Amino acid sequence: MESAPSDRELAVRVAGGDASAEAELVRRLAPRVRLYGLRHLRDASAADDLVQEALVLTLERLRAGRVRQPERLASFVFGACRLLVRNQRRGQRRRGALLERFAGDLDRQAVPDPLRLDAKRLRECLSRLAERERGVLVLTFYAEEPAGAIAARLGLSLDNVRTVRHRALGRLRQCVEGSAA
Amino acid sequence: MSSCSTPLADGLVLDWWTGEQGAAEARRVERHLLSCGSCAARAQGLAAVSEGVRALVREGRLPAALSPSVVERLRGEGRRIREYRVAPGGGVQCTVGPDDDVVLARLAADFAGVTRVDLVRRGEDGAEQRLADLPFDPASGELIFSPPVDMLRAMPASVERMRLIAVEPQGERLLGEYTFDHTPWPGRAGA
Repeated sequence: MESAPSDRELAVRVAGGDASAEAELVRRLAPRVRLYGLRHLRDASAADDLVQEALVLTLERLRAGRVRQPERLASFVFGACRLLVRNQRRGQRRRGALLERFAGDLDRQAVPDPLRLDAKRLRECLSRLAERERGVLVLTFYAEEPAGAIAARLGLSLDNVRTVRHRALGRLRQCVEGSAA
Repeated sequence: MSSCSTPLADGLVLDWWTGEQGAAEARRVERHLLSCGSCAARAQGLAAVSEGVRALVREGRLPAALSPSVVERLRGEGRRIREYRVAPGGGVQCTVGPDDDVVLARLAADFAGVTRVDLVRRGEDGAEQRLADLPFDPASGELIFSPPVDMLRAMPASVERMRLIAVEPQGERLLGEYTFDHTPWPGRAGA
């Protein structure tokens, strides 16, 4: 079986003008950049903006031969993400000049749809958890409270909260993936 | 997808997602996630759960005991909250409006010395549902329960009784009983 090209191979091919390599790189990197954006911006549309900006910047630099170490592509993308998130936090949400110039070059068809869970199934699975497990997940993901704060609020130990959270996520994953009756 | 020779532990990914690790460790995790398809896919699964939970809470569709901090966040996000505060032994006429995002039953009780609380819901047909070991904030003096709004909207006029029960080593103790006399919003199904 033919193995998938490495990030480095794709980067080199993009630098050589290979459009199919660009599409593959976008397909590969878009979900990872979106994840970074969701973690730091906690907003789906802001994360989508980050995907576009970071990939346009990456492709433009690769095409221009300005990524000197293609084997360190992830480090370049990481640096771009950090910079762009910092700019977004400073309120610079306007589309940058680079994006204005090159956004049309980005193959949007290659950007995969974000992973979304079926809401009905997720609710069913959450309803099957113990009340305490569900409550800890709500405090973690909706209220964004760290384990220490949840422990203090619910009169539990830190280890207990982390255990409940870990177990709840494991059971939820099994249920959502359909392996639990 | 290629496998990973140095996969990140689930706990490490969760700590990254929740921001519970130092800056250097977070950067290490981020670099790995940007270069590793299989670990990134696992992290995307976690992110999807996180997004899904947030949406269900925001839309008032998850049956759950909520903390005051969750209620404040909902309010801060501009969600429309209908709430009913009921004292032990008390009752209330209740409904759910077409614009309500979240409905809350705020059940007052004295939780001094209580470590475990169960909520028993009893419908008009006498059927009981027991929700065991609810998370609660003992200092708040109330348990906030959010029934799913879509289910409330489908309910006909009916009376539901709730009981809060402290579960203690020496047995169970009633903390309060609360009556909800539900009427559908005029013009809605079941009205």
